[in-house]
Amino acid sequence: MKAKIMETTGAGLIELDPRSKLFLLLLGNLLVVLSVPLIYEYLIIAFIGSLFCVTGYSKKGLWLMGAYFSVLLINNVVLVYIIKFQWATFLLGGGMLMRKLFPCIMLGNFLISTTKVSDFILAMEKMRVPRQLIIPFSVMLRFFPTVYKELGYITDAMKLRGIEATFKNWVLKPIMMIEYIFVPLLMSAVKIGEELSAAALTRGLSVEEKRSSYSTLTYGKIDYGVTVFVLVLMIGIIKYQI
Amino acid sequence: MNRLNTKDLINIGIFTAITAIIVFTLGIVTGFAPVIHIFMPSIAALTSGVTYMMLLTKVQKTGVIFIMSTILGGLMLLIGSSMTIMVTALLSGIVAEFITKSGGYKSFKHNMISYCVFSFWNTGTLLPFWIMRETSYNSLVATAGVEYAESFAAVTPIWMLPVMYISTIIFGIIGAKIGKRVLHKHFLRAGIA
Repeated sequence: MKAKIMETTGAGLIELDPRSKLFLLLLGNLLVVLSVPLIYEYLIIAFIGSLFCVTGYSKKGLWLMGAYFSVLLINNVVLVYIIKFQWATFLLGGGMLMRKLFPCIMLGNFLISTTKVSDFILAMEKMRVPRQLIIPFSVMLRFFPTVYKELGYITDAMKLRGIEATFKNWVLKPIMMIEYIFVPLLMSAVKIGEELSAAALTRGLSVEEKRSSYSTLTYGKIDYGVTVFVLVLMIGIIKYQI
Repeated sequence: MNRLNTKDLINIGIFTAITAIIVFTLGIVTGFAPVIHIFMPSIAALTSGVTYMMLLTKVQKTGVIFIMSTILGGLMLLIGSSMTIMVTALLSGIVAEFITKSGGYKSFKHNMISYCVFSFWNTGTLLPFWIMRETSYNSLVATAGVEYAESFAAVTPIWMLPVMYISTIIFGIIGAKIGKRVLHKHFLRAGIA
């Protein structure tokens, strides 16, 4: 059973090469910096959501689109009332920032949840990224969901002892928070590091040797289609600025 | 000089992940208020000390800090920051490398100074507000509206630039000391670090 970076809901209709996903991430990056008419922003969000559904992660895709709608709701409904208060106007800017960042968040999520670790490493190798960067980067991607799970376990265990990890506690008693939450997290990180190293060495992941791979990554028709589509979108966005 | 092997690279990945999570959470939380956002590098310097010290204790080889700062800079770039963050990340990584190396990886004083320099990687997001004032103002208006851009412009007078760096250094010193204490108290006694 090949391990994906996050748990999957099943096989989808198409599979995208990790390089196309990275290219999509560039699109999200561009969207943060430049502005687009609202209708196109909605269309792009819908497109990303459909990407999730088409590759078999409909639940996650729909959840993310729902989150986007709630951000829109907060921006257009709740914050309109806050403008009446002088001191809270910057919250409006923050809300807009959140809305702008959303395509990037969705695309990052898309990359992390739909890519197998070995495929990702293979894609980076094909792009001639040095080993010293590939390994930490893929370990990091694999580790993000693990951290959240571990943090959940630790806070649960601490609740049993009567120590709650609330925001108030973090501000008022940071030392206690560090000692009871952060230190166990680091300890589990060290343990995970040791286990990962043993597993990696067993799989032959070393810095010098060239890796052989079971799956071959080819840039298929769908990948070319997606790349061209993203290029067209990017040119359209840049042209709109002028 | 030892080369970095797989075990070291995996450790770098894990601790960079923890640092990245802390920094990004802080970024989102402080992103709402421009006044606090200026001090985001300082707060990040305060909180990332433990992972940094731990990593330096575990892997005492050349290249650790550089890889860490490169990956962190790359992540910020993917999230949508300007190109300057890559410059600050690479530069601070290289200088921090030299500082730790000159201390033989064992001197706490050198590690502390290198940590302060390393913390400058975060300032890349804010640097354009002084260096390229016009363009960043315009892009901020496009991104988040005029009020946000105005409040940002209000809190970035020219004297704020050295203040930001000095406060990063001060918080970096505190963060490094916290890191050392946590390391000694919990990890060295347990024999893990």
